[in-house]
Amino acid sequence: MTDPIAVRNQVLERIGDRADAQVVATIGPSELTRFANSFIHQNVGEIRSSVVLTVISDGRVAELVGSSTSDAGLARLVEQGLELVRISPIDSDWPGLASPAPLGEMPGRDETEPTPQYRADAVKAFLGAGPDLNGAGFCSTERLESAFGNTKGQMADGVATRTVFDGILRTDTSSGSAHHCSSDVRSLDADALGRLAYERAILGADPITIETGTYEVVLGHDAMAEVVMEIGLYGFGGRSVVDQESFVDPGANQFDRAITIVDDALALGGVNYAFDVEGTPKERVVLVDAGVSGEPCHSRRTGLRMGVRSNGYAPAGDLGEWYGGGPMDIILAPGTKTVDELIGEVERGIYVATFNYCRCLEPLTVEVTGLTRNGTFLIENGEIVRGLTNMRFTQSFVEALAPGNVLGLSNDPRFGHADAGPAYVRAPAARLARFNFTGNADG
Amino acid sequence: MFEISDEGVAAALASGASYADARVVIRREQAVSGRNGAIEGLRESESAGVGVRALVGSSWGFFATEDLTAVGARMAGRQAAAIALASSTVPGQALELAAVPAVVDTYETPHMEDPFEVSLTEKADLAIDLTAAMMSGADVTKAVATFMFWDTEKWFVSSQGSRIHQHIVESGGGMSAVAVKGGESQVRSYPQSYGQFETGGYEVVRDLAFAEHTGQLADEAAALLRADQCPAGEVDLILDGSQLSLQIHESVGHAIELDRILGWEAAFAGTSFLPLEQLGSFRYGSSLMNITADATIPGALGTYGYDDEGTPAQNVTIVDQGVWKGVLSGRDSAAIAGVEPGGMVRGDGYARMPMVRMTNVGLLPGDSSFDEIVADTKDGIYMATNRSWSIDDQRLNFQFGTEIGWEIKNGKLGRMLRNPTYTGITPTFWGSLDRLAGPDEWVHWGTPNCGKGQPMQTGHTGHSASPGRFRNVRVGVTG
Repeated sequence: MTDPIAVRNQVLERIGDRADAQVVATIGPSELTRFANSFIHQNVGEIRSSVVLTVISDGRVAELVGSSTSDAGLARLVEQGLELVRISPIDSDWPGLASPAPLGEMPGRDETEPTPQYRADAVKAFLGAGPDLNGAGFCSTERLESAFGNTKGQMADGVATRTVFDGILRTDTSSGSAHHCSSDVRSLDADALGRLAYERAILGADPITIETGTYEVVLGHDAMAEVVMEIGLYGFGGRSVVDQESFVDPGANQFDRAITIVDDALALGGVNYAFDVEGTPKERVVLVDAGVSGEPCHSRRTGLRMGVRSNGYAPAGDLGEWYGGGPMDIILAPGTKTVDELIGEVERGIYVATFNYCRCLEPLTVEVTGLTRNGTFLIENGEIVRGLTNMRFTQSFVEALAPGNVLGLSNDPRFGHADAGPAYVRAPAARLARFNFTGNADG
Repeated sequence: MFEISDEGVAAALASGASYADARVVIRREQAVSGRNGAIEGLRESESAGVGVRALVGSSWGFFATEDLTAVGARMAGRQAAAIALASSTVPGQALELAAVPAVVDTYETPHMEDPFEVSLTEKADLAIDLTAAMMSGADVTKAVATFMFWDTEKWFVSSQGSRIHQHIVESGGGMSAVAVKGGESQVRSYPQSYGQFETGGYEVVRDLAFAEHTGQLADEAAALLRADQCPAGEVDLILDGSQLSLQIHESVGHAIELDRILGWEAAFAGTSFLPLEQLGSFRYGSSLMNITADATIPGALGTYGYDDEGTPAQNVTIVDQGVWKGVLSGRDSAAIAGVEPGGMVRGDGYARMPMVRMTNVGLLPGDSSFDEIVADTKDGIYMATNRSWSIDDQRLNFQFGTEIGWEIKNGKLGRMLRNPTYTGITPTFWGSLDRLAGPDEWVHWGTPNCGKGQPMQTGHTGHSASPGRFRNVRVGVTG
């Protein structure tokens, strides 16, 4: 069976009146073409298929996940679910099923599934922008259709489409990267991405190592996406709030007034669904409004524990146990300047294209350590003067965006490549007054 | 299920592949988690399908489907070949897979107690009881316990004649107590952060005796809130076995992956600082550093019979008395690098293309003991249980944080230290290893959450280690 709506309906019919239940069926092609040393070395495809069934009976709750969508497979899943819930312990925190509610409308887009040759041609175009450099990265395309239903009558379905390109070009001493993510396959311009990566790689060749310490920085779109992602997960996730591990104080002026962050699945154009895995329509949530902290993102379970309703942010699978509700479609509002103008205002500082291997040391301050990667540059007198070797930072991301520390945001937000977390993030570049670098190539 | 794999291989060959293999994989997973004295989640999953890998020229294609019928397998085979054909429009160097013998065999994880036959009630009660006990501690704001079990069956067929059935059973779990006060959180975990996992049955959980450790975790999490901050400076550093196992994972295990060394992971996970031309002569660490990649250790998490290319599991010397001697490899990477294939290629379920993965990459024990090492340390810090980890894309510059530390003065453990961190450069750090505890304290630590590849794959790896001492390490790094 390839229609998730039919799968959902069949599961609910098989459950009948034997128990309460909710089901999420997701089916669709997912393909990824990977290249390294300027050739395609891995190229994979699958028909993704998952059915997540939650069965509730007499206060007991059990969740089953299956990959089979055949009649026999669905019948087995349902019977296993009914058997499992019978021997499950009482779940005293079960928040109940979502009630029927309408979904927001996703924008239309080209949902054509590209061919393997389309992705190979995109790789060729990227590599063609820097034929003398060593290229690596991937091009992926997905069209996943998901259907939710529960025995309380809530039904929801939708399509997520994603075209992602992530590539680097390397000289012997440097590398430059470019990233693209869109719900519309027609927006991919692999040649332009290649030219950007090439420019960064050449600019960074023969890097020098500078002293560690506190520097003014311009963080590129990808680096800022990381900052916003970590703040979203650790601060605005319902689980963090329930566990008293969130720094967020709703109504307090915790960020610079330049910072406005919202979570809005509809505004991101269809890379994600308009509902969460509990069937709750995703609301537009203002996380930060001109520096003032707003409310967190909740699932039904974390919302119940905090005495509020879910705003549609129950994450899938084991992410629910880790984050228990968290931002999924994050947008940092842009500023008014170009990236060149931000750089032009820096007397001496560092430009960082992307971060790598970021890990949170303290959730209550979102102190994070990680490294710069694929484009670290010294700025002097308003210009990038040369490349730098990668540097390690140890920095509270809350303090990085604190009042007075944000000196400007760029006017060209785009999807960024964040290293940590499952959310999609659209962010501008940013100029920050102080950022702590605690290590360099020497240690 | 072999006949399904046969169909996939035959279809790929008929569509132009020069080589093909197929794996039918059926995997059951069960997760039981408790939080603060209540059940938090109870999830069972089963994935079943077939993945076909096809080689056209020097280019791979891979396709997977959950349709476990002959029709589905043939479709996957044709699609794999078509994808390989598209790959060949941006080709690499000529490739002839390293030769391995055709094998017809079966393998099963030795285990005593099928974890899926143990009642859910028993597992849930354990999670509830453990977290309730930890919550009774002063200042403890959160207590979690999670147990996970995997039962994986694979039917592998290659166009070169291999037919291998494997049944892998894995079990384990962990628990943590968190205390929050004054804008700071502290955590203590047992047996290590994210738990301990092994190949084996439910006896793995029973042997870990979780209930004996709840009081210690609660007490230490609370005590850490009042402990002194780890000072900054250079000291002699003693790591417990579990932290040392992660140090091995990050600064040795990933660095010796041949696909990384060859640049195949450059854009995502990164490359490696190790120069292939110096394999056999590069000084990785001190003479106490003896590393093996041994996929045959009974009970260790990275143990199996054959990898997902049909190559037998084996024990490979990686570092011998501080000198780099070996790599983790598969049939394609080994052929390109001119080394023997190590049988270290595995895929995460049926829908992921197999890639080079760690097996049990461990540090062989020394001849000392933890107590002797402490007694021999005049001015140092002992750090235990990982809390954070970060390392650069060449596996050189690392920074780790642990849950807890203790000052060592004149051969004795002293005051407790909170927020311990240390940082270094890989070969310099390993070069400073000068004391290592012996076989009695050597544990096969398991890591069930090793991420690698695109699409992301989660691998299960093992890392044997005993406590060790490193000289003049920079500690106490803060922002």
